[in-house]
Amino acid sequence: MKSKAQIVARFGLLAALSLVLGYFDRAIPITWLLGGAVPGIKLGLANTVLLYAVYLMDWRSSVALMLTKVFLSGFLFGSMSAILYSLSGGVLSLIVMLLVRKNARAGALTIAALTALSDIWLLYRNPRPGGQMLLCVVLIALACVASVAAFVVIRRHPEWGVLGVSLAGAVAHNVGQILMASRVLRTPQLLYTYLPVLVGVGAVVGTLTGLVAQRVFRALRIETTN
Amino acid sequence: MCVALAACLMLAGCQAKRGDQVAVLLDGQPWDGAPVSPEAAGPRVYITLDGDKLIDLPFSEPRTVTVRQPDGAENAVVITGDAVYMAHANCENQDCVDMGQVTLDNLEMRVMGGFIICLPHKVSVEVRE
Repeated sequence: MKSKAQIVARFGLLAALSLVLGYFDRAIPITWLLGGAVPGIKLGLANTVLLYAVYLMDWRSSVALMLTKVFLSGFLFGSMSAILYSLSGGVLSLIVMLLVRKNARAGALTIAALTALSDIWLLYRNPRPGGQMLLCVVLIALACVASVAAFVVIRRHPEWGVLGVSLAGAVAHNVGQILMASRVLRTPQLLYTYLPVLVGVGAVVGTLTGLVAQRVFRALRIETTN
Repeated sequence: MCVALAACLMLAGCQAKRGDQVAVLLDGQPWDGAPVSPEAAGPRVYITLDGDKLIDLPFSEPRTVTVRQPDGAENAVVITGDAVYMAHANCENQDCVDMGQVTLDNLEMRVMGGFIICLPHKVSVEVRE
């Protein structure tokens, strides 16, 4: 049985860690790496802290941690509108991660299907993509392959389940944000091309943060086999 | 509960901020609200704030449009005659400035299509037929 002080100390540590990683997220120019094609994306290292919470804390603490992170980082580095977007992304991604935790394989498979659909939809709308769109179509295809690979790996090695949870969480985060953005700006047209790209980018960064989280969990000897 | 309340307050704040104090400048001069070259052929540039159209102009005529909001938010859109881009914005992330130009050739290739969006200021620019 853990003492209350232990729980509070751990919560404080995770909140601080998520704030610092959120700052790193801002500093890593991943938008620039993609040639400015997809504005406003981040690596989402702070998400690894939420992954940790999803596995090691009860759902109430995870929700509290997410809210702490959203509001503190919003007040410290962002603005009111930034809080609105990260809140919608955070809520949706946390719900999805909590749901997928027990069945990481299904999470990875869903993301594989979603990325495949996104790519087909983009190619259907624009059969001869060039420039940025071509880059994105290739990126989404890679994301689809990564999700399928994650599915296979999790089936063979259940301890890699965190990869599936990370994938689903990252994609859900992006979907939540773009839904809020298109609602605020009242421009549903944004969803036609931007949503599929964000699903793909979410799957790419979700794979990366999932790999990081898996290494961390292994080093900390945290059990992740559901 | 708290969160819902905070979100409502934020949305209410955003709504209240809107209004007729938004200034639109054409090449540095206040715009009188009259349609800009309605007879010009070809695609047009639509600038919206918070989902409401502020102004639309012909894509083919070089101009600088500045949108100045009561809270100090400012966006400068440059129309060169064959391209549109966000030249300046005093927002925190500069994503809109980094989105580059919209031309008639790259409409299909851009991820954002004909859009340039400044999320923090809720300003969107769209090139459309």
